Amino acid sequence: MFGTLVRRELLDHLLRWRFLLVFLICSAVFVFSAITFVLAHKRALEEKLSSYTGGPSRAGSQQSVRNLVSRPVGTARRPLGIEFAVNADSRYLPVYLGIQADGRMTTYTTALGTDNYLLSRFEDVDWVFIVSFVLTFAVIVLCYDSVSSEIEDGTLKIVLSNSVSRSLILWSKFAGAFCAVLVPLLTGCIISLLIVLNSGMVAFHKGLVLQVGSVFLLSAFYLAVVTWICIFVSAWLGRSSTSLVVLLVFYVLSALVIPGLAGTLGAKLVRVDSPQEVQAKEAAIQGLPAVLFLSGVHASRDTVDLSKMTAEEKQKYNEEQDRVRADRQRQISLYRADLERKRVAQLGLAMRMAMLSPNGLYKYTAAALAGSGIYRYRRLRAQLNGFVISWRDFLISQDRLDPKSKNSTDFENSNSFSSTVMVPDDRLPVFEERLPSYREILGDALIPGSTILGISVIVFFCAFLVFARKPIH
Amino acid sequence: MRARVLQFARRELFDGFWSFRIPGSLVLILILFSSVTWTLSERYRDSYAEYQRRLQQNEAALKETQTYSALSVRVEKPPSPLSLLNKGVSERVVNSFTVRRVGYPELFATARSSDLLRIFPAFDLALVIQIVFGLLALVFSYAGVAGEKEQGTLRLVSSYAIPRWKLLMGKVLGNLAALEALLAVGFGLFLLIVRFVSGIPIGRDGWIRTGWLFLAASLYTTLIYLIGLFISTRSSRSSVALVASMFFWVVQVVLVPLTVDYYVAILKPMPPAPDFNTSDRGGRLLISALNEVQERSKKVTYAVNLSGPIAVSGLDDNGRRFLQTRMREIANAQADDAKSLKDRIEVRRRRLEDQEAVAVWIKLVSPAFVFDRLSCILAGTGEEGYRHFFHALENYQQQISLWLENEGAYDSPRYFDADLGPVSLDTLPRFDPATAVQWSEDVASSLPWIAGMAIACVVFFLLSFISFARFDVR
Repeated sequence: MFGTLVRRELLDHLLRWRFLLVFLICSAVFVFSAITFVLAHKRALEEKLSSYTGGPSRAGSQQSVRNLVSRPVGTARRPLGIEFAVNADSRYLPVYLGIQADGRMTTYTTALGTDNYLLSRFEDVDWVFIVSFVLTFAVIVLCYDSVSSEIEDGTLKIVLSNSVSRSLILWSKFAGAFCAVLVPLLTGCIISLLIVLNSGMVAFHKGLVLQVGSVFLLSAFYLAVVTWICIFVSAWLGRSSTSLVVLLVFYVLSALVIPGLAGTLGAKLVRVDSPQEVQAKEAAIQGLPAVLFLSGVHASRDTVDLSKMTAEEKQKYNEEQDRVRADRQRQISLYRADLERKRVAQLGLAMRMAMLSPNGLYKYTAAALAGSGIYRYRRLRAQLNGFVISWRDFLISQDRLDPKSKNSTDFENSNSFSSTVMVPDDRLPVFEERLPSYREILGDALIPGSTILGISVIVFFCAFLVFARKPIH
Repeated sequence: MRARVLQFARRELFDGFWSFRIPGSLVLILILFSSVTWTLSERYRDSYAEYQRRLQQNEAALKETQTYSALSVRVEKPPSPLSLLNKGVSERVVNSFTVRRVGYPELFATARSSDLLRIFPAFDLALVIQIVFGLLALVFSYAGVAGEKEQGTLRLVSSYAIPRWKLLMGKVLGNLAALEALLAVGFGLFLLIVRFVSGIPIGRDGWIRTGWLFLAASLYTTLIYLIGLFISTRSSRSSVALVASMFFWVVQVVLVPLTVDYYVAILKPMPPAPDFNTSDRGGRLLISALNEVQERSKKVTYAVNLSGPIAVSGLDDNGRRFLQTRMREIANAQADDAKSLKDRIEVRRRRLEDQEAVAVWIKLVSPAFVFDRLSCILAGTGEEGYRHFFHALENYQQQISLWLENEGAYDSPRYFDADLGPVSLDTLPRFDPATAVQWSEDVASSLPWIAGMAIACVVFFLLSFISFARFDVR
């Protein structure tokens, strides 16, 4: 009986014009997205990026320890193969991350497509985008009348007059609709994979296959949740047109309004100094009036006539100057570290607020499974913070090779490193980004994934209760 | 005759009220407009406070000007309260510009490498209008004709001796009256919160712009309604009309605006930036003159920026006289260098515009995009607004050059000698950013877009009418 009902539902969906339209739109978007990914990925791999890397820069080149102390070491973010499925807005996150020995982070953001301020901010058309925006809409259009239309035209009454339980009808409706939704998803994913595979741009190793599989399963699960939401609304309201409007309002809130407001609210709730404020505050710490710092002319510092000083006074004066300079550098380092902490906290808060919508939850679970986007950025920061310890040890060991060195360990004051020993670039420790293990990925995805699971259970019970208690006259 | 049309319009309006379409929409608008306006106005207040801080800093910096050549007036583009309605490019570009005797102000993307919140989409009321009013207009129109066909009431009404255009006009007027009233509520709420809750002054310019923005939003809503009505006249069942309308909505509000720029950025990438390293003849002349002075007297120290500012200390009379004789030539060479740099900046700007033009042409299929573009022009936050602002800045730069000439700055030792104390800037002309761009300029830029939308409205009304007139009642 169940099989018959599911087949009827499925055929009912497949033979409609709206299904054909959904199928064509989805397939077209999947094809376009795969082709543009291949082009963008190729360019990203070619575009160098390598100029940022903290490793050996030129064969035979060398630098003094003193220079190395104030030089950032780090890495350019390598484009990932999984980005055709989940890009997770990586385009808008720093492309290069570096760290100095004093723990100060350096970042650059310019990525392909973000260099024209006239173009509005756009979404990467990856699997997640297609599922969040196109397929979610498709589910709504396919299922908004799954129960209500049968109530309206009276067929549900006839079906219930047979000895068929309501739960069986509900499950068959879900199964039929879900199978119909899986058709464009599966077709699109297969086409997309074929295009990416054929391009030879991405090496499909075991880890990547696992990740792609997980993202596909998550997408299917998310669409199942949306299907349950549609069935619930349709059963609850009992009128097709009202169901569609309510579901579209849900779509607008979930896909557009809540993620759109998350950034604004995050900026409001965790205040971070603007670039101008940072400039002015750092100028103030350095003892320069901000006004001079801003106008680009630093000529009016008090000058001292050293020629009138005795040797002892000169030495005292220089020592005092060094102390003041070191103190200022330390204050600036502390200020920048605090700023970075606030930026990351702001990002985390905005992300949590975006996850108040099912769409946001899905998007960030997919990002966690792909190990990209914010998750990758955070991990990279943590790895760099770990690397800086070995980088400092290396610098100290090199500094001590010079017998005249002051043997400083004060990295906040780069001037305290007096060694002039030259270190060849090929002897420098190189920072390598370590991609997360599957266990780490699952750890990241656990909370948002479980929340989606929780929502699905709640929605399922709501749909079941509403349908079971619905009086059908 | 007119009474019949109004009668039909009234019937549509009442239908809307009794079906909870209008009350439901009203609740949605009240919630969305109030929450979004409040959130954005809080953020605006922060940016306005920062703008005020920067103004104070700039004023203090100006007073510290040591030499005429170092005269650099920093001009801030004030954040517009209407950026709440449409942010445009205002958050993507720098809003602080330096006007010097040489060099040209140019629009550059803001250095936001540290701004991690870029990963979240920007949100403003124009987006709410595009999404919500686009949806509401379609909800109001989908059953307009198809619903009556389905129920058979159209057959009944058509049997009366009433011209069909009156029937259609009645429907259009009734539903548009409801939609425009809802839009007016949204705008009213926006103004109420901005002006009285957040205490943000709007000013005469702002009120006029808001009026034009309301007109643009009305046109957008009307256009979407008429497209929905056309779909409705072409469908025999209201459910088909509704689904077709929703497909249109998702394409014009979601797919086109969100994806076209992505495809353009990838498929038509920007060529490499032009070489900004200009001849720098002025800089070389300056350094050679300063080195010569330094060779004569070891006490001389200087701080310069090769593109303009010069501050020399420890000069004796000979050194001062020597530099005085060279400064006119150096200043002219620096001005030539700046002109050559400007040409390269123009090349870069054209490349940016070429890339954007491709995206704009494709996105013209989406009324939501057209409204977005129109609203950012009218709010003064679009690229056009910045161009007008730059035009005012260029005029101001000419005023500064003239003022320096009148002061005899180029022949005065104060042009370069930092030991003579800060220069007097009491008579320096000041730039008023508030009056730099008049609403009339932006409205003039927006007229082609408004005309385009109005024409599209007429076309879709005629299409709907033809389709409706051809309906066979049998």
